[in-house]
Amino acid sequence: MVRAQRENSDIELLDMARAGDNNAFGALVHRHTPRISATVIGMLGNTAAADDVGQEVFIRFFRSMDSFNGQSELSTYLIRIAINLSINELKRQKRKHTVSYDNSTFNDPEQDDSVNSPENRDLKELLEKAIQRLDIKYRKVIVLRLVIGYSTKETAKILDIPMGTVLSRLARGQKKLQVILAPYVSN
Amino acid sequence: MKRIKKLMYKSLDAPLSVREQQTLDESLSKSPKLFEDYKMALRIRKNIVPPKATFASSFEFRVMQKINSIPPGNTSGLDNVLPTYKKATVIGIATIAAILILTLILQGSFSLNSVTGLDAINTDNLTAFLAFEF
Repeated sequence: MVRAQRENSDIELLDMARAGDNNAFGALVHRHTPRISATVIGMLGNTAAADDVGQEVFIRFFRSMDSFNGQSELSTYLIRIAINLSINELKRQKRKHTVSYDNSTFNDPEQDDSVNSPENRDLKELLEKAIQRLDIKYRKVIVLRLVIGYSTKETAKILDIPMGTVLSRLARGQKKLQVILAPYVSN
Repeated sequence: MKRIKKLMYKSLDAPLSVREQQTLDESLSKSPKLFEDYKMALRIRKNIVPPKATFASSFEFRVMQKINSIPPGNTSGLDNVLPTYKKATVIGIATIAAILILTLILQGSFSLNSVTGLDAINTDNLTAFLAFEF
């Protein structure tokens, strides 16, 4: 049953979930967890808070799924919730002076040798941590555009800001990343 | 140099006009520092990848546990709005209640005139007010 449901479109699963089929909602959770995970961990680091925020994304969506009108893709809608909740969490941590940086180690990505050199493995880990040090307004464009891979136009749509603003924040965000990484990385 | 740097970053995310591309190419060929910055920017972009770490394997189970514990029918848009405005609503209602109670104590009445203070206005008071102020 679950396999058949996985083949249904987001809208079909959503209609079933609205009719009370929680298994259908579970299929949506399964389908969208990878991207939500990448977004929230990209914003908050691999922390317990990221897990809590991730759960809250789906719970909030469950509670408000009747008001989703299908004007955007469901994945875009969920990413928007994820970004907003991540920002709320960052602000909460800042107020409580409990900003936590991800100090865990990461597995090496399986890529070809030219990218998997020791220098680049270190750079990947450094970059993940460096992104955690960016201001919120730069972090969210860097995460959506460069980490998740949305286009500049899609990033602007998700964040509801002009494309020019996205480009400008991308430029400044990347410049800040270079400054953060400068003591650790040589060309 | 600031303008050129902006152009350099722009080239990574949006198409440049012919003139902009020419300007950037010329600057890159003339400035080793800019060229090094450009190489570093490219290297950073190549190495920014989605985090290898993901939510724990029990994540979906825990989400659905919470979803399944929500009573049926609790999925209206209002449920999403109310928490947001709950604080403001409670404060607003408390303020209105305080005004009404204060009016009752001071004026002895809940009438609209009492609440708005119009009870206190009559010709004599108005004349006195105007004379005092002006």
